[in-house]
Amino acid sequence: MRWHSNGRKCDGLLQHAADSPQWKKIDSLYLEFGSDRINLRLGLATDGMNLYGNLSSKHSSWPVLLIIYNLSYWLCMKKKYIMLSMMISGPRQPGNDIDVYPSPLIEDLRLLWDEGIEVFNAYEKVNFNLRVLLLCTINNFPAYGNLSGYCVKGHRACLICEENTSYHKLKHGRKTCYIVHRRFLKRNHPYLRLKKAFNGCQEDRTAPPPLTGEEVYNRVCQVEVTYGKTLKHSGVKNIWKKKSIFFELPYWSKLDIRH
Amino acid sequence: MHVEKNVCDSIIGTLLNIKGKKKDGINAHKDLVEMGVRLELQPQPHGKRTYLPPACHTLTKFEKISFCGCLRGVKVPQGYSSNIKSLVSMEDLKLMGLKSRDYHVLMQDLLPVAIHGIFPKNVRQVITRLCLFFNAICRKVIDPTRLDELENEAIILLCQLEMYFPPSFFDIMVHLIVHLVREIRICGFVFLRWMYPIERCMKIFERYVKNPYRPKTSIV
Repeated sequence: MRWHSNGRKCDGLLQHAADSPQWKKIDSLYLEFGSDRINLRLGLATDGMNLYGNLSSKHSSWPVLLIIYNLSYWLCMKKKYIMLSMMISGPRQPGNDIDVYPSPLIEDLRLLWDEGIEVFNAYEKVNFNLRVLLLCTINNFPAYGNLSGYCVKGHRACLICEENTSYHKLKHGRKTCYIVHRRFLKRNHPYLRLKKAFNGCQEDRTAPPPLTGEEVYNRVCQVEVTYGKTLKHSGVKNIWKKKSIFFELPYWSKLDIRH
Repeated sequence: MHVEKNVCDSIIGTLLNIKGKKKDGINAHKDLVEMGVRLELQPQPHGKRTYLPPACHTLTKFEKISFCGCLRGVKVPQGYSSNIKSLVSMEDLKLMGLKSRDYHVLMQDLLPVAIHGIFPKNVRQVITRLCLFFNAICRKVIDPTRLDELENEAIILLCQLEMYFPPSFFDIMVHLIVHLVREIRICGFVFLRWMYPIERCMKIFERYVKNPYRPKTSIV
């Protein structure tokens, strides 16, 4: 569990999640948490799976798995060290209502972050206080939309560009495509002046700055949502559909990449 | 992982002109005309039929045979990927039944070899560089000073893809390539955050289900 701080080589290269800026940022923000190396950093993964194989084509259950990032990188993604923390059963996928199910898990995580629990260390034969932090979630793109409460379909499908996503509605293909990648180039790049080779016009917009966690929190804290089946009403459309349940964790809005 | 898989899927679908997976077609050409670019690809009506001029990424039948033949000849070590030979159908000239791991292997190693000598040089270079980019970000040790270089590379690659491929190729998965390097810079590795181990884990859970009436109990 302490391998990430004292068991490995540190030579300035990226080798483990502990080298990443996000990990270091948490350590520096919460000094008390960061100073004890045995405190756990977890990753949460979820995806739909069909338990019945060929017997049913539509069934989908959602296991929620926890990954311990403290372990060395050749162990932490092994089946033996991945914990099945809960199982969202049901013939249908939960969709946007997924937040209802992990609330006991989030409650536990909250308790583990605020106070911690007493755990026995069998190697040194002492009790110690264990605290846990949820570092990120791992999921595919539709589940990403469900967990974060962002609408990942339609014109503004990219969560990182958010409102500044550049899209183009194709008239004949009847699809939305996200083309203008030239805006991410450096300002003096020759591609910016070309017209014929790209979409017929020069590009002068700059790349949109990605949102930080606090900005996202400010946007979603006003959103009202009722879970479950409701009558559809034609209200104001918002690209943020809900305030994700992960924001109940006090550190969640401090993370730069949450999902 | 899903970005890599979906991008590879749409590249192969477009190159081999697989029905249902290709992003190129009469509507894509009409859209290009609508945007006012690459007018040489405009569909030309000939009586009842319409002639679609070949784009730079279109393969002739012989080129497709050489592409599929190359993949059919590949032998891989045991456990590396599924037997590629069984995935290639020489009658229909397409790839069938690929798993996500096979897409990964294709993208990392095999695709640059398979497209040798069949495209115009610029298109070939773009696809090869895309594969090399995916190879570079999936490494186990990354030099943080190289990340800026990789990010620029990703953007230039996407711009070049825009030059050669039709606009309908650029769905949201292709767009997400831009943000991959940012995620690595902030959050660490791809191989610690991808779905392959999770999906493998789920397959194991699926095998535990012996009593279909109580699947959850049999897993727990």
